Amino acid sequence: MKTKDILICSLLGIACLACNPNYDMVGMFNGTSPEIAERFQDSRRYSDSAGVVHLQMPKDYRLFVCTDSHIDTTHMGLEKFIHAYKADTHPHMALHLGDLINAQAHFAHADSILRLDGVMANRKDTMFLTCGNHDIYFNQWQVWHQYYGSSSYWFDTRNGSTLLELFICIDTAEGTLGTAQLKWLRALLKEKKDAGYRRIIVFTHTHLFKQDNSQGHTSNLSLEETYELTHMLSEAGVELYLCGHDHSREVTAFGDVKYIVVDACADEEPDPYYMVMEMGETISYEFISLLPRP
Amino acid sequence: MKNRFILLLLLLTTGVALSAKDYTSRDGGHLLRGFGYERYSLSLMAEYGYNRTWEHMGNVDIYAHMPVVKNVQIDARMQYQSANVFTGALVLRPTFDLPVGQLFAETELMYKAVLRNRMSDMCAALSVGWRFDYVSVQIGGFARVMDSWDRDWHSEDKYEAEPFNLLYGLEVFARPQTNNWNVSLALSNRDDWQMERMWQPLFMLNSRYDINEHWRIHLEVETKITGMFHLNATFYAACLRAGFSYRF
Repeated sequence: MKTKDILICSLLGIACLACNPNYDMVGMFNGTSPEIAERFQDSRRYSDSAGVVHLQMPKDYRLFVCTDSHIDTTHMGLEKFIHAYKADTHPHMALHLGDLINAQAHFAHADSILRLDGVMANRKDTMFLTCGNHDIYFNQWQVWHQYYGSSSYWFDTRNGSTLLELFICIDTAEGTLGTAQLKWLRALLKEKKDAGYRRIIVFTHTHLFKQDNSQGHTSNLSLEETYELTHMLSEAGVELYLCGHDHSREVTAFGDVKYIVVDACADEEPDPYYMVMEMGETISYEFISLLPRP
Repeated sequence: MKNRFILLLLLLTTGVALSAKDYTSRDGGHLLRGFGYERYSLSLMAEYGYNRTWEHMGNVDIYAHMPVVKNVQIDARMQYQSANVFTGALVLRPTFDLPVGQLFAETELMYKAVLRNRMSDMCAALSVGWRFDYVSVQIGGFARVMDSWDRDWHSEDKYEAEPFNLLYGLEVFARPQTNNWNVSLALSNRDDWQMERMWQPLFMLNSRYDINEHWRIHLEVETKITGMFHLNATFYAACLRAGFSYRF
């Protein structure tokens, strides 16, 4: 095969990938949504106007976590998760760690699954979301922003006037926190470190470590950001860092912070899971399979 | 089958003998200047760097190239970053002259003391490469261990190991290696001071000019983009590096 033939084949291959509605090939060279600095500004503006959520909870409650639902034409995994979450009789709340949809034009579909019976009508409901890289493909940040408002925010759970957990959501959809968001996170952790919370939990989409190549070509945060963020979380006494993106479970502890990558709940996953955490004086967690039981 | 094997062996032996004759340069090393020459050199570089996490910084790099015996080189490198990070690396590089270009193998140890974050990052890499006049390719793997200096020994806290990452490099040169100046474009997930995860490529534009037999000047630009392979690419870091080498 001549060089010219190889070149033509490569270009044809790229053209085929570009035609696939699931791949935002332009984004490989320059993300099509506004970059993190602008998204962070949008998020802060929304959060400043919406105010901070303080959820009243008993001292023991459940946290349901799912991620990477990648909704396109089907929604079985996410729907099962929502049903399990809503059917639970314990006090509870939920997190979705990003990649709600797979590619483009599926937010209406995904949102109808999240809301199901219309109870979860606004941000003050008890499911909190962050955006993933798929959510902002094809310049869809504004759509995500219209549905869910902010991807950089914090809220807490309280029992009367007793502080329970502080939850901080950060936007890592394009593999970096960016300068402004990092400064905001540093200041927030410094301010809240000694506020009296039972524990601090940071959740986002992108994982920090790369212990294996289980999900092929997922990028994670850069080395410099990995060093800085792990140190910042350790210094502030953060107990948990929850994320998705890798589709494959990883539980590790570094600098006295537990890092959990939650399995994807997407329908195309051979072994989809979600996670349930029992929040109390101590925490415990288990991963629940979304496959039909025999 | 046996005869074919012997014939192949003979051809290879002849090829190596011919290559040694054809590719011996005036200074006793490989003809392809820049990677074959068997002389000690010392380099000093100054850098201006920016990334979204540590923002602006100034760095100083020192390189020593030591061809300890013919076709075996040792490189030692040290860097200080004003972001309060020290990096040291040691490379053992046997080379094999071929009729076309040069094969090389690298064993590299890189240690980064991230003082600002009270942690260390240690990488060990094995790779092989093939260098021609206009192209250089390299492929291998590396393992990484990150460790916090404030590890809590009474909890489940531990070091973080990333047992296998692919290491790759492709560099395309504008001029043959024998030229007294050259410009190259490189794509790799590592440079002299970092080994990034395999889906985090670095883009480099390198240039050099040989003033005379002893002095060489360098000018290099490098950029790191995040999120490329999850299709949300954005600029993360850039670096401008300038310096000189003295060849003994």
